[in-house]
Amino acid sequence: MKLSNVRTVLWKEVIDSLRDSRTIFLMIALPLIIYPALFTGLGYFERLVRKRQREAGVSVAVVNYTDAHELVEFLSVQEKFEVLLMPRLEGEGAADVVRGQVANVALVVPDGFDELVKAGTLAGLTVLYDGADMISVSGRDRVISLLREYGSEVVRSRLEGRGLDVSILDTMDIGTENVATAGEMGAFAVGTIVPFFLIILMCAGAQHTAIDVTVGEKERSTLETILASSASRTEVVFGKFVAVMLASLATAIMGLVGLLLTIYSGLSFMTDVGEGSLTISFSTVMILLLTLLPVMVFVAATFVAIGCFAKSIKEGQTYSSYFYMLIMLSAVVTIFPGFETGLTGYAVPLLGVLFLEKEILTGGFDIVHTCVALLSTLAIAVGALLVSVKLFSNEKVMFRV
Amino acid sequence: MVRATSLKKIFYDGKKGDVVAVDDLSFECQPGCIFGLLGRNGAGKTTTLRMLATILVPTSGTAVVGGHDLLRSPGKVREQIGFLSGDTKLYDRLTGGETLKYFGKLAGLQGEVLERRIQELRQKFKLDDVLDVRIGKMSTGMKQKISVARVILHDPSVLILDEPTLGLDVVNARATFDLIRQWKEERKTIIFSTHIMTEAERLCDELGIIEKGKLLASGSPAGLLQSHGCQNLEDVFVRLVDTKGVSEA
Repeated sequence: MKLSNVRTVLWKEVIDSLRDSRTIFLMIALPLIIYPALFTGLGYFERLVRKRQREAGVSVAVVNYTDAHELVEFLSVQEKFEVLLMPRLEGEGAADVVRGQVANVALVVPDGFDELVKAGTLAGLTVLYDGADMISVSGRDRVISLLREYGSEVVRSRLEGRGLDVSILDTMDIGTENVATAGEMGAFAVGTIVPFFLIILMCAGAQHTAIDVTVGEKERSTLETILASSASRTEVVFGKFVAVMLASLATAIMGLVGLLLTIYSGLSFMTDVGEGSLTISFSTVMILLLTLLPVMVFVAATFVAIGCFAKSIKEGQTYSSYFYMLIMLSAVVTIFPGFETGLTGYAVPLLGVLFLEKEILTGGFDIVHTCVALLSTLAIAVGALLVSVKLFSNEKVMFRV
Repeated sequence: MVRATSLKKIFYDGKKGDVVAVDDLSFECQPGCIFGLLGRNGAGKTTTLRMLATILVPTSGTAVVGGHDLLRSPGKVREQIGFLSGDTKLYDRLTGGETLKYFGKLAGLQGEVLERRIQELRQKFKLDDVLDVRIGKMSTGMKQKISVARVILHDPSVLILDEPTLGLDVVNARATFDLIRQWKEERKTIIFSTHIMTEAERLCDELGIIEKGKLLASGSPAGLLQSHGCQNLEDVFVRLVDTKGVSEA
């Protein structure tokens, strides 16, 4: 194999790709503009919803209120809590109050509730809420919490009524404290999200270029021209493969820049991360990209193989989209906390590298994990590369119609 | 020189099974000679030329092209040939100059040698206005000039031309014919395929009439006319195809 021919093919593919507006959009516009805009937008709306939930009070309709005087009194004095008093409603009447958004939550009081409480027996209450409405769901939680508080008050007064010391109810005083620093919290969030988005962006960059340089040549009738040149098929396919890998790498770098700019600008949905003391050093970024190299080889070689196999650009896009979805589904796994399955998890090609990236971003480093993850992915990457060379050299595949 | 010996190509078709595209084809073409493959669409001309250009591998048989066996040394064969087809397109996003540099480098030309060769072709084909224009923005005639320049950039000894005038207007087709004659004078070995009888009659020293992958007859245009007692090649062609068709049926 002449390296000069590989370089020549690579040079041509790079020039050709850079003059394609779709490549520029995928490589630069998408990672640097679209994703930051998406995150910023998500962050804005997420904060807006939370703020509204905090500011908006909960309205609760107490149905059959005449049988729960003390409870109504207790609820009425709560802050940002509106109590609507309603008589006994038959059938679906109470549910309709919630469905019709007359109140966020309805509290159905059984007949003789006050008497049952006074008699010291068990008294049932039903809370109706709309599971499809976030405000109604948070209202339910607030009502249940207040009812528990009221229940405790009732127990205390019962004990006092019997002359018992109420302090026997106080068993323990529970306090919680988050030991993670803001930086560690940020690293956890970044470690979860960054590998996922990097791999998605890498695929986006590789997919378009790979289809363009392989099956695109078939469709544009330029394949014969290159096959009749002095370059061997292995040299041609290697040049194309390296061009696809570079496109993938460039998109990943742009994505990383875009994502970090968004995070540090404090505008994203990970605002807390930006406000914390999170720092990602240049060396960490370099290590991240280095660990992604086997993934890039695998992704680029597989997309090239798909492109060689496809009969048309349309077919190539369809097949490569399935592969893209498969990668996305695998990458989603890494977002769930605690999914790591020890060394076995690191040995799964592709997933292992994603776990490794997460480990590096959260401040850990294990040489065994690193070797296992990189070698397993590198093994299937080499396999994919051999398949793409084999397919490109197979005239039955390259000239099938 | 090109010598094809019992070339055979079988394709597998999902519906029809094995399809014999080229069947036991043998011919020879010496330097300074134009050998024309004459046949209908689908007769096996393109498959034959693709095999000679090492784009396809023969199912059986072989050929010696420019002194190298195409099965044993396909790389050496490619160094000796210039392949031009009506179907071989160029890269729309590269300029004419970049296209020539690209194929020149792949052919092993480097630095000053490559630049000098491009300048020679620039003068020869009047490419001044073409080298800085992207292929996608060129007219058909301009593209043909670059295609031809690409083919002879590395000064190949064998030229394989598959319907090279396909889609060209009269002026550009005539210019291509003139070039082919010029290459003949330069002692290049030229294999030329066409389905247009007048093209074949005007250009070729030797002709092979091909039908359903088989060589029905070969010889000089004058010899073929004489041996079949016809006034023109079209009559020879129709008579051969009909006779063989009937005998095969």
